[in-house]
Amino acid sequence: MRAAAALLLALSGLLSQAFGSGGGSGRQTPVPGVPASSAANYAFPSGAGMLFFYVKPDKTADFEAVTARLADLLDRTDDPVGKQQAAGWRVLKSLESTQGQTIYVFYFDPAVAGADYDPVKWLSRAEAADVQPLYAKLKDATIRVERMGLMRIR
Amino acid sequence: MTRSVWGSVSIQRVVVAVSVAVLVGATTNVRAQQAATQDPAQASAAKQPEDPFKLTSDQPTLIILQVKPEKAADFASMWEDIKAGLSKSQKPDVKAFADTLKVSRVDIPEATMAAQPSAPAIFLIRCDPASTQFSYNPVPLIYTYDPDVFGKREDQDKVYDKMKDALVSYNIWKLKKVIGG
Repeated sequence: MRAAAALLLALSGLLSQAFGSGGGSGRQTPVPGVPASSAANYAFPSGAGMLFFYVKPDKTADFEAVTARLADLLDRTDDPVGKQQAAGWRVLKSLESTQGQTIYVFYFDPAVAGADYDPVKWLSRAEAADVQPLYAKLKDATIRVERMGLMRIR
Repeated sequence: MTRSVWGSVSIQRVVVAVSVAVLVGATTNVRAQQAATQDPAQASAAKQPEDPFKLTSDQPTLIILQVKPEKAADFASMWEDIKAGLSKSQKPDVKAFADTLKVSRVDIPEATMAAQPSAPAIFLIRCDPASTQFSYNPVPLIYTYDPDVFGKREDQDKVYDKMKDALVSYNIWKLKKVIGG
């Protein structure tokens, strides 16, 4: 098996290759919570996709606390579309850091066409007093976010 | 080669060795092709390369496959065939594995592909949880676990032929589940 660093480098190349012209898959998206974010950055019309969160290594506990709260909100949702989103929503963590960053993979498979997977919008469903601290933790922990659309092979 | 000969353990090992080598790279591939032309007894006695797609832990794993762009459609079709074939298996464990087999192609915009026509197509196999019983290598998936689901030997070969010379490189990315499933 190749060294993990090489694996991640290859993945990074995979992403940057997809950046190119035309936007779409593999593009960098605004950090959640920043006003410039749009639903298109967090939608996966191809039916599956991923978000890569590059997180400061010393902030992983904060980031995981936010994702735990996100998981709770996903579990408790009564919204039918939200339930479908929750069923296909996974959060995975790279076992190794690379270039001073810890990578978390938000994997949506299947993704609900037209649904918004912006985690900040989900966090806004938390109790009002909790929302701002959650935003602040997420924003402080996150270096950048990258998006990748996927087409499932049936 | 008759099906009974094909079904022997020694031949199957040669096939697996070749497939892994194809995926690992050209240098190894040459060695494996040489092995494949050896007497099966010699080949089975020779040290076989480890199958990198036979995972040893059930931790979530992404297998990243870079494929020649001109082979991408065939490669996708091969995975469709594998999934459809194994889903028909009467072996419960094989069928259950097929149900968990999740292969995707990275959705790269047409404009980007047009600008970089030689850039490889990217496929991902999401192993979550990863199977430690079955390899994610197409060759044992086609030829070893329940080959009859793909039809006769020539039909199996037609599925395999779709991946010939397709793979540029692969990466295996170990992950840990944080939330979900």
